[in-house]
Amino acid sequence: MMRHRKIEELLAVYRSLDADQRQLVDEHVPTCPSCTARLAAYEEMDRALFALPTPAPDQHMRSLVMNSLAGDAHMTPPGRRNRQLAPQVFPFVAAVALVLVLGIAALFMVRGFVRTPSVGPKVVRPVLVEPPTVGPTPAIVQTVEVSANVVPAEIQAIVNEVLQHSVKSTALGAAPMDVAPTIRRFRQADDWAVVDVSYETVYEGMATTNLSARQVIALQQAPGGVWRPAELIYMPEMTLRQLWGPQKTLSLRHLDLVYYEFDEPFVRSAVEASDLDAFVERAAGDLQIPLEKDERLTLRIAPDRSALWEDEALVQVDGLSDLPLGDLAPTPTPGVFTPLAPLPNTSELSTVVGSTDLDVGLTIFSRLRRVAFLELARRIAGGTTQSVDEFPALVSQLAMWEAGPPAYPVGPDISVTMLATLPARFQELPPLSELLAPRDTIDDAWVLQDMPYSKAMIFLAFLEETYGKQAFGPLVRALSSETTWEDVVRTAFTADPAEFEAQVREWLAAKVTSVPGIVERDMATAAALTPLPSVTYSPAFATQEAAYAEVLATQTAQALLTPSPTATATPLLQAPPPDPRSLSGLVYRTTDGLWLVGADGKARFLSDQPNGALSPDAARLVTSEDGEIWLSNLTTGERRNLTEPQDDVAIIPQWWPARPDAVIFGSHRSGDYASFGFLTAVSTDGQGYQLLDGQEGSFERPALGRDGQTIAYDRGGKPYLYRWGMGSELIDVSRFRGADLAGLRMANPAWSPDENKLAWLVYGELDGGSTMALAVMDLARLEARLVHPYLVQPMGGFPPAATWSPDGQWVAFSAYDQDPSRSGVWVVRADGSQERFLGAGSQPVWHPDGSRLAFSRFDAASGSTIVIADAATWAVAELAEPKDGTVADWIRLDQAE
Amino acid sequence: MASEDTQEMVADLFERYHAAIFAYLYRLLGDSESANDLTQETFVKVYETRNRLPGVDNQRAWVYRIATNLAINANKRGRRFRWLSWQQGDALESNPLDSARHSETRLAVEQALAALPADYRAPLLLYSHDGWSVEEVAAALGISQGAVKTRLYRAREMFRRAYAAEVEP
Repeated sequence: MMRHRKIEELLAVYRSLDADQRQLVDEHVPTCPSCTARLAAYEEMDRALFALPTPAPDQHMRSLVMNSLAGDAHMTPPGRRNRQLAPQVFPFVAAVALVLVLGIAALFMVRGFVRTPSVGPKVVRPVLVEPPTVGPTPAIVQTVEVSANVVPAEIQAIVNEVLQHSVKSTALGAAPMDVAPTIRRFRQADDWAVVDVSYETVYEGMATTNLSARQVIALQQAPGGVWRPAELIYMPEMTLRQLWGPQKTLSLRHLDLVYYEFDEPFVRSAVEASDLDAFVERAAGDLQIPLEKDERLTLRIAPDRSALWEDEALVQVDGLSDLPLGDLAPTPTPGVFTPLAPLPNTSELSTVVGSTDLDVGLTIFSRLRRVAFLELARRIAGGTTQSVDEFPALVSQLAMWEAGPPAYPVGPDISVTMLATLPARFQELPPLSELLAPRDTIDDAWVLQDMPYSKAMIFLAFLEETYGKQAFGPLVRALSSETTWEDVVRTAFTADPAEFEAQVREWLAAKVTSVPGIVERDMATAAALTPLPSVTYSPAFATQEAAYAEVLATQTAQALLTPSPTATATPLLQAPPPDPRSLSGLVYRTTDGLWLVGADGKARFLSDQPNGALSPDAARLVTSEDGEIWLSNLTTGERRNLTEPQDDVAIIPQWWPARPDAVIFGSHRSGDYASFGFLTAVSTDGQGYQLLDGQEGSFERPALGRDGQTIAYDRGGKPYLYRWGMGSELIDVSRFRGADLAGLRMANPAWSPDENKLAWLVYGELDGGSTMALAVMDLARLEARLVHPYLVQPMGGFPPAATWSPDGQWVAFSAYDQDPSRSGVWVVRADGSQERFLGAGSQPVWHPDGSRLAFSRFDAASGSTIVIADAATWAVAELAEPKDGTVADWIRLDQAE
Repeated sequence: MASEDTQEMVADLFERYHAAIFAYLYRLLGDSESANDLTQETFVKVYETRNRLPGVDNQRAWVYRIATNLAINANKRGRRFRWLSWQQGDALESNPLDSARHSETRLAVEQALAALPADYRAPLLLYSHDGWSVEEVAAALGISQGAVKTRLYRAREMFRRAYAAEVEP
């Protein structure tokens, strides 16, 4: 028995056993059914675990850490780092920069509306939500056409961006999603507007998730005409259903990302009071509570200034006391920056996300944090500009902070105004017993059903007006120490709970009562100022629904209200459905298997194996199944395992047309991380298994040359050429004129038909804030050109390789653009002179004669469809059949038959 | 060792391992936000302690050890909830058919993995997902090889049970 148990343990590490142990196991296992089953289960387990997808880190990870550690604004590979900074300055600059860059980056991320700041000219931007000066145009997620006449385009864009952000933050940044918003109400005064919109989206993640929500977004307009979301975005309804199982806990934190705008005026006033030290001191005094909220939102500065922790970015930098402040600040005064007291980590502010105390804590914390960062930033800015210029993010942030308050009034109390426009149940605070409830009594259902966030904000507004902001500290403290709301009220405000609640309600009632007056006035102004064709406004809330229904009833409105699922930034030409015979040679997949369209336009079933690569003559198929490469003869049905004797896991097989006897694939043998694996070849007879490059794995697929000799591929993201029988050679990008490709990750190459050019996908920090582009390298002339740079979706990895038109003039590719209206299939001229967007979709293939392109478009509701684009006009047509088909290839039938 | 050289080493380690560390942390923590944060923290710690780098035998294991400790500490400090997890991986899927085909199995695998305590998930990930040797796993986790083997055995048994529960609820 002892021996049996011992062997069971050995089975767990079977592949690592030494010869003796292996012998022991190998002798035992065949005699023991339980161990046989166990070993098989463990091997299956290894395969399953190995096959798990590899998520990609935040695309800015590299620049965040590398910039900081190298003190360099650009991503540079080891050995090429900029060493302009004197060594003794470096550690300090790096330390502070790390805190600032990461901290500010975190701020940028949570703001949601502000993209990565531009690296371009420093423009003072008083309004936080202006689009970046460079980089992609602001995302118009989907044209909400109702607004073409009714809602100004600018507002539309903001609304769409807010919605897209909400969805994305809920979906944790999964693939692009179509949000089909319906605007339920829209109100506009001279400088503010309220949009009440509902939307529903389905996205495919691990599960099919259905999100429907209604959101009220308030916007304000600066005199310059720029709109921005106002302080409150209210989400009265939201449901999230996942089709594979019980609903998961939804984190309000994801939704909170859009709420961070509101504290700007407060920070500004603190800054302008030029009494930062007193402010920070007071705040620290107020906040004699642990700031360990969610353990992710923590700022701690040690009393002796020896360390600063900014845990939102989970950065901890020791040794701040080493900062040679004298080098940076013109008149350093020791001790001016009164540190926060060390905050004991004795309690957690929030255990259930979305509970009120988190909201309150978040509010206070975010204010405090900004002030602290501003102060730190100023200290650097006050010194040498050299160091500041190293950090465009910092410069841009400083510019915003220092630009002064907006020159326009904040406007009506829009939070309360909005409450008044909503159904009665939203007009009131929930009972304080709920608002201040102990956190463990608040469950997700309550949070989802009746978002307390906005109400907490209303409550804060009451506190601020009645007691002043200093009341926040005691409130948070009480929330973390008391268990009943009555005690919270007694402790924090030394008030009788019932009287206190009455006081809040009275205050709110007065606010709400005053709202119609404000709105009527503003709506009157709006009517005078805003051209609103074909819509009749009624400022009276009671008739609003009726008015809206009237609008809805008109034919124009009906047409306008129907969101167009394919609306994009570029107008698309729609082509009539193509003649089925023109599709001959098209290879596509459905869940049933692989199909080939014949000369008669009818699809022929090739194989029940939908994945894998079809040989150019359409007679054979190579697939990867359970880490082995299988060759199937489609005529005879015969199947052969080409990699059976090998231990390696083999994936992504490809035919090499110039070497019909060879199959190229990726193999995995160690922990080296590369999604394709090591470049490997095997003959179609299963012989000649050959590791072509055993140095390092590839991220993505290789491009196999027509000469049958040369393979372009990436070795760990660096461009390489493999020559058959001769080995690999780095493509030295520094020898190329034109685009500077140094330090960029390159993968998924594609040979031009004449094989003089390679189109790579490159990833890195590109000019203008882009992160992904095509790099067209002319190997004969040693010229490189970056084509179609864009901001790639985070977590998306490399898109599939580009594909050249047979005449070598055009390159088609899928862009995983963060701007959904630009995410999809593009064709560009190889010299970058022209480009054309063909709409959502991916993985285009050319017809062998170059006259057409086919690609797949995936829609969560209708599944996959095949789209055909005419290369003469670029007009596109979606095929009605096959349902749920995706394009695999387009081959020459004369070769196939 | 000149300080530029150690900085060079840090940069090199980042280049080579940050993506893998992220993936590893993602599997340990279950959400990408934390994984991104802890990946950053890992390399900041590597940077802070870079002067010890030249004396480290297995730098990869060392980086993983920092990451593992951060993750286990983060788990101990108490993740009180997990938000919608395990979704990011699908962003990598470019072929919806693949996704549909495999999502059921993979979901069960991921859920089973998620059911394991971090102390057991870490060695299983390194050994089975990343293909490391027992020695290197031991170095990365700072435990003996014997302990790695025991944990792997227990982890595999826990995984089997959890997987079976996922597949046949």
